Amino acid sequence: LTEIPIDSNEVKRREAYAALGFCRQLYTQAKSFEAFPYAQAALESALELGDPALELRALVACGLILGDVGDIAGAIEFHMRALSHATRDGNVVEVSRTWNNIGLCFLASGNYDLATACFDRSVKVIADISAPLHSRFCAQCNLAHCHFHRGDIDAGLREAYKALHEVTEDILASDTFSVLLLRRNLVRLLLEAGRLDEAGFHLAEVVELSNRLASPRAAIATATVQAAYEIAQGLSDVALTRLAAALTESRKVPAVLRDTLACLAKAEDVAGHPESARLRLQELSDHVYDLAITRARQHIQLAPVFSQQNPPAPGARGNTRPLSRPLPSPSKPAEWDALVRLSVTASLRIDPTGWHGLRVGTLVKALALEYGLAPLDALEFGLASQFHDIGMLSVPEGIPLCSRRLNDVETELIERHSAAGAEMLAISAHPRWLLATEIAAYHHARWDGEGYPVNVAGAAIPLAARMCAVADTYDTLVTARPWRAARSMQSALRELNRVAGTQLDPALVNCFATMIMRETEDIGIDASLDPALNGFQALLDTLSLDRGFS
Amino acid sequence: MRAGIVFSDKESRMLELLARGLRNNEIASQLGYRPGTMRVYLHGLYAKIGVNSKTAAVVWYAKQKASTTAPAEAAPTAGQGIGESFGDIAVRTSLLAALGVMSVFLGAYSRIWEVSMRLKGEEISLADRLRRDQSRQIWEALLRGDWPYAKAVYDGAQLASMVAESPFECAMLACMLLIGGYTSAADRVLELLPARKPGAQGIKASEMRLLLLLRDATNSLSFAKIEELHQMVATYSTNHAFKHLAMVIVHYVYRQGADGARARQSADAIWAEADMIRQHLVDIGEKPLPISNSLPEPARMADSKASRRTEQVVTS
Repeated sequence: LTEIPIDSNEVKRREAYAALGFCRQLYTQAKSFEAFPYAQAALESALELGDPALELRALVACGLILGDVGDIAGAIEFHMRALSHATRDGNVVEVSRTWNNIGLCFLASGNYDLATACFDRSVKVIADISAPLHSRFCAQCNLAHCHFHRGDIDAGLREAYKALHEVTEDILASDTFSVLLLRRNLVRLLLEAGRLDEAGFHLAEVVELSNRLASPRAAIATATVQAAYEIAQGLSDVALTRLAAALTESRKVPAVLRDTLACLAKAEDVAGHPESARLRLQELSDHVYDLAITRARQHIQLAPVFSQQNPPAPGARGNTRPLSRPLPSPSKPAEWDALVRLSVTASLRIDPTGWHGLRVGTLVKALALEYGLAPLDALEFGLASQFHDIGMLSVPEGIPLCSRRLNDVETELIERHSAAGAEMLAISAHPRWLLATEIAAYHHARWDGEGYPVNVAGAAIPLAARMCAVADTYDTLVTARPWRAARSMQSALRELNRVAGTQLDPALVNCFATMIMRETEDIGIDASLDPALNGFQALLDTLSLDRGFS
Repeated sequence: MRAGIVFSDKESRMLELLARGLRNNEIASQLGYRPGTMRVYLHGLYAKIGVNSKTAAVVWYAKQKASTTAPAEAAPTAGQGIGESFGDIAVRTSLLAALGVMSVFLGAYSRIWEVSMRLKGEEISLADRLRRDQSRQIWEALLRGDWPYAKAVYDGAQLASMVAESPFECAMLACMLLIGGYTSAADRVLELLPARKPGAQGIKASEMRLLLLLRDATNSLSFAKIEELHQMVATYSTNHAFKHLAMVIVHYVYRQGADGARARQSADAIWAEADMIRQHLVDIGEKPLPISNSLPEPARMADSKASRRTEQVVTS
């Protein structure tokens, strides 16, 4: 044995590939939380070996795993790194695949506009290659899905048919499930367009594929789309029975439970059982709520792994510290990085860009300074305010960015985000989390007591939460939402003044207006420009630049 | 001497002799007056400077002298007065000499910036560090009234990159050039500084106004300009680096106008600001200036180099 030279790099490379293979297995078994450390180890070896191909694979694996565990912001970071590698190598197919992966991240946040943009990009990158490609097929299939959710049925059908043309024997054999999903999307779109006959034809294909696959996921997907078809035919009783059976199955496969519940709620609503629909939606919401909180906890536990810090040695904390030793200097809490990424993920559900939380944080810091708080206290207020909407993770995706008018249940679901946020943030006694918990719980409390949670009004609302409410309202006004355009900074201030005293603390609105007007004048922004986009961004850049709080 | 009061040669000589602590008849004999005439002249002098006793006149003279003498020329003589305030020492020496280590709490990239970076969990990059050092060097030169330093930076090669990357530091530099009397150099910097536009670095309207005000104030000291300077400190009080710069400028403007009392008060305000920030850091649990009152262990005589090296490691 001693005569055979062992190339230690080769061993390392093999180990890394083995780790990635193991990741893949864990991923398909829905054990992504356990898979992440392996993917990260593979990435580290790749960097050490200087092996670009391995690095790219590891980056993609890290991204997919984080996306699967709900850390969308972290996933996008890894995908972006993979993207820059693929771009540098000129590997267009890989670029296209990465855009597809990024789009999937946005899809998971219910941010269909951004997702569509990514899938479009994925298709455009490989426009020059005429041969059928798996990545093009995926992107078009996902585009069809996005258009369905955005209500653009024609575009959805166009993309779905294009995708169908891409399907080759190869794809059918290697990725049957995706083909099934494509057909399912097609059926849904056709039903929406009222083309029942065509839908029936494709439904038969779905059933055939499902029989071939014989997996619970495929069966459930098939059942939901069959039910949709039956409802369209007026057979709601059959459909409901079918869905009830599917729901029983879904309880064993948590990953698809959400979809099934959403379908069932919709079906009950169409069948004329609003009360049952309400119950289903409630169950869906409870499921998402619990899942979000559990995930947040898991992320925090994994924080040392995720941020590559060494976990504290067992027994290091506790009462071993002598009383005479001075307290450590204030610094960021240990769970910081994990929760920042979660809060960006949450922001993606309500804001097309995902920066809502950070923007509000910056505005709150400036407002707190203007209100007369000492600089570092103001900084803490700002940092804690970033998390005010983290509870949005507990609202089923798609609802917050929904452009139609929400029904009572959905409104209730949205209102739960403040309690959920408080629950997620109550993790330790670090002052910043205490402050953040308070802000998350009370940022929708109104000055006149009409907000939620109930029974709190006026100065009884914590100061930080009142400040966050002002900044939150302002940010929402000057950025666009699917159901309305962005306002100019001036008109947003007028709106704040209008609601001062009822919704918002009038003294704080005053301070805020003074601060905004002075700062916009100081950096030469025209506040009356409509919409405010660029000017607002410039203002935020200035406010967040704090070299010694200048 | 103070603007508005013109002293004859005899009167100036009288003040000097008074300040030396001579008696009335001694002064009289030195100047060639009779004691009675001397008394009349002295009372005329008291009325002129607005005091009613010999001691008050001596104190007045000492303060005037301290405020008109540039720090570089004034030999730092210790213990000039009883119950000296921070402002007195600052006027007698320089802001930096009087502030000492407390200067780290003021200006851009101050201790607040360092702590805020830690609180945010952001790494201080090498580029940050370099910009910080550059900024602090200019800030300290401003505090010690080292105007030739500003001229040297202006003449140096780094000015062009500073204009593009650090407009605030350039504004500090322009202030120093203005106070130091390098008028044409200051005007050139003012021309170079780009106005701030969305998405690009540049000088803010407030910073430009401060510079223009300072330029006017160094030409002719009018009440309205000083009033406006005070106003700026109040308006931009949430922008700490800017506020501190404006306060320092107010101090120098009073000093140049030989308004000793106000120069002293403005210096006191600068000290109070630094102390407030130090207290704020203590309040949030930071130890801003961790010092111990025990002397270091004296180094033991070591036989070999190796043991000396370990000694150094232990003590460092």
